[in-house]
Amino acid sequence: MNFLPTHLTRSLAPLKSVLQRFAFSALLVMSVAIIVVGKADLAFVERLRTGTADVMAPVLGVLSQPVTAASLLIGRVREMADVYRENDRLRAENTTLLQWQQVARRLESENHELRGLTQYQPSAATWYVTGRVIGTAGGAYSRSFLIDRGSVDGVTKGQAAASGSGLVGRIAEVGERASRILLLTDLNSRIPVTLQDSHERAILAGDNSDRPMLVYLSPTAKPQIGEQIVTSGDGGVFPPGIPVGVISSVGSQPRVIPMTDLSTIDYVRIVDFGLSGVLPQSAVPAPKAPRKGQSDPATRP
Amino acid sequence: MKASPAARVYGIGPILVPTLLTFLLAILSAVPLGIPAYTAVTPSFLLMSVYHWTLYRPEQLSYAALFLIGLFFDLLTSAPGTTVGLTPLILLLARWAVLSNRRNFVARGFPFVWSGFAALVAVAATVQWILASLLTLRLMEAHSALFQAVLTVGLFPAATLLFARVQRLTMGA
Repeated sequence: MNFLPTHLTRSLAPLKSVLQRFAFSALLVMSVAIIVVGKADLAFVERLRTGTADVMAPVLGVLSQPVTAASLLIGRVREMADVYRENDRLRAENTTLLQWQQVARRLESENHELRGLTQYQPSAATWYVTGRVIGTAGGAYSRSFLIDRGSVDGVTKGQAAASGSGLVGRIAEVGERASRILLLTDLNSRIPVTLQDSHERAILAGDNSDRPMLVYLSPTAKPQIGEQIVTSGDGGVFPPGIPVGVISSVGSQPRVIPMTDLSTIDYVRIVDFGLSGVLPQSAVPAPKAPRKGQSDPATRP
Repeated sequence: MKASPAARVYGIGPILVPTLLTFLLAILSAVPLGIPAYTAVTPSFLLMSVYHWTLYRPEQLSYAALFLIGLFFDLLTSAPGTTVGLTPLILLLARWAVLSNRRNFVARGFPFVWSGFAALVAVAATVQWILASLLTLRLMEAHSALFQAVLTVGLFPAATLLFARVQRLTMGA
């Protein structure tokens, strides 16, 4: 480095060569040490990770903005191309949905009456906040997202992350301004689910592939291709009945296609159901009321 | 525009440029592109950078910089439950491997250099797969790792064009 005076450079030269020779082995040892420490002290690594995410959240937020805009634009153009067909499809769907609306209204009033009869206590208030995906993470060996919402927005560990169509994953790490969602396809994701038709219980276990597996299914269960999978509410982390996916293959290892295409999500909704379930109390603080103006207006009772 | 003033006066420019560029690539690796299945097969821009600079400007991308950038990359992109520290390890080993074989590659034509990169990626991906499997005690799904390797090798010519351009702009030929 010639920004130092020449005589200094010359006298430092032997030191420099020694340093360079040892830099490789020293740093190699340090990498291994970090791997070991990371395995042993998960909380420390988590702090480092959320710290990094917090610092980088504004940068990633800006960088991912044009991408989000572009994918919206591409979506628009594609929609324009088959607007007539889409219109027909929507008309048909609307007819079906109107029928469902009738059913839902009837069930709602019936449900209301029955709740009155049993003096049912509704569970803790549900609220949600919408976050934008600002970082994809994991490469080939894990499946997670970084979103631009953190503890200041009321996000806490264990909350469910959903898209418009179904469950996406859960909040695994929370920073101040950013949080990490562990997708249901990740190797470490385990979600208690119910098969909607047969009411069989199982665990939806990710293995980093696009189609998570159904494990611990009872041997007598007969899963059908196309059968809906919803959360079972076991373990008390997610409430029962959130759509998760559809069975795509049966056999020795049934697999499920998630409701949402996890690779093209731009926005997710973080939902708090007021459940802390199996997670240790320290990991899940009591659900906070969201700060004013940060939750969506449609917060349900 | 030959050498930037920073490069001329302080001599720190040549070190700064590859280091900052590699750091930028680490950030860009985490930006979602909305392409189906892109996340799982995001090419390793870091390996491209390490290979290029170690071949053509070995002094300017140091082990220390690679260690820090690799660690930052791991902290930024790894999911909960995955190993932190694997990327710096791979990057250090990659630089060491390229540095030890540099003589055989540096004056060769691009196809030869490219095949050298393919070999590096193959070895790095295999080592990473083995370590990731060992550290989680589970056999990792290898499809996405394979596609990632193929994509990394396939995009290398484009990256080389970019690196060579940056090299010319900031440091002269």
